Amino acid sequence: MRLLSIPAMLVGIAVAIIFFKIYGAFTRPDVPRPVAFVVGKFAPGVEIGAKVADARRAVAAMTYVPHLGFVGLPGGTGASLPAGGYASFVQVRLLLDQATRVKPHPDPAKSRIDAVEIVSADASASTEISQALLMLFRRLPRNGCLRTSSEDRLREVRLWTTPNDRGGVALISDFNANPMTRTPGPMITNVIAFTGKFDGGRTLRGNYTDMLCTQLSGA
Amino acid sequence: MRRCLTLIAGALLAGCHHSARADNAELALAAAASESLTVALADSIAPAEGFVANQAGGAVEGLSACSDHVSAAGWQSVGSSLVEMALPPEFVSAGQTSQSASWNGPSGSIRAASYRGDSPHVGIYGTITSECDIFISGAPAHVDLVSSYYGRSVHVIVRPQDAPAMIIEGQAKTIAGQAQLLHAIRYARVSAAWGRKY
Repeated sequence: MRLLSIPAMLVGIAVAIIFFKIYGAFTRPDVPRPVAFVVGKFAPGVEIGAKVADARRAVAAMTYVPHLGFVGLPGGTGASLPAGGYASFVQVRLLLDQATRVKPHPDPAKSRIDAVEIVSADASASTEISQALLMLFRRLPRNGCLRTSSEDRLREVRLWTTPNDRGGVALISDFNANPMTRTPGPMITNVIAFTGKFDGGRTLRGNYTDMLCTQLSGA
Repeated sequence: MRRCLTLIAGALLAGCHHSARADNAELALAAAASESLTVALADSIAPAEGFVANQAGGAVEGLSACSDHVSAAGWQSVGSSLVEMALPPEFVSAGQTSQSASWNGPSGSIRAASYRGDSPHVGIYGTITSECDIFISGAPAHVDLVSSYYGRSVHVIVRPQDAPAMIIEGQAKTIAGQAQLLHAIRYARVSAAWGRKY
């Protein structure tokens, strides 16, 4: 009798696992929680997957940039970060998928937000947001580099993804090979929140490489 | 049959190749759009706010060359052949020529003169605690806050487009005085006479 109960228990466990797998697949949010949290905190009123028209009240002076998406001013002035940090944002970009962004005049009422990019010009934004993302994702970022049209200008990429690759957040900042010298111009930091598996340049809308900027610059 | 299959496979491969090429071209356009937007944003921010070139010191020494929280209520307007600006009421003229002007006050002094150097840091004695690139009177300017044995100073090089460069230097005893001089210089106007008389 006891011998018969062991297979029954195994079958029961298997059924429970299958049930929770299916339950999880049906009930899990479309946008992973850390990614949705970053978007909600940095660009209040904007949601990945929502229609662009739904974000109109949260993004002021919205204009369409061909091949990219809708760009405007974020509704909030900034976000408080852990350890007393603060970052203010000067621009929010509602990035569109490839099929939509090739259209010359996509309809905001029909266009879905594929990813959200928030831009800061604070000098300390990169460091403070990086610390916040470290705490949020509880893991070290994957590093990469974005090449720009200017050979001497590289942009550092730090990437955090969810454990099952359902989305992530990329932090992009200006790369300075020699930290002792000043970088010309304001320090621009971009935060891109996306869903789905990270696909390099396609996700970041840039010329991405997995190599470190220090390797590319030969420093 | 074999020929037919080969043709179908060939057509599919050609279609895929064409699609990948179009895909890459579109991605390049997206990258270009993203980059130009970031560059345009950086260009639009620099003249409006100035940007920190360097910042040293902790919270106590934290006056930033880019920040400005001083009220100029009750200040007086002063003018010269180089600059016009608002200064605290106690400041009085300490002499003017066609190439220089200076004012003295109980909390410090300020001087404007023509400048011929290439580097913005020539003639600075002390430690530069903060630097900022801003626009003064529409002209690009480099601001240095300096701390030395003699006190605190604001060292600014202004490079008007159609007139010679000038240096505006303020010397203060305290951080508050330094902040006042920084505000005065930040909102100074390059005199219309400056380019003509030189």
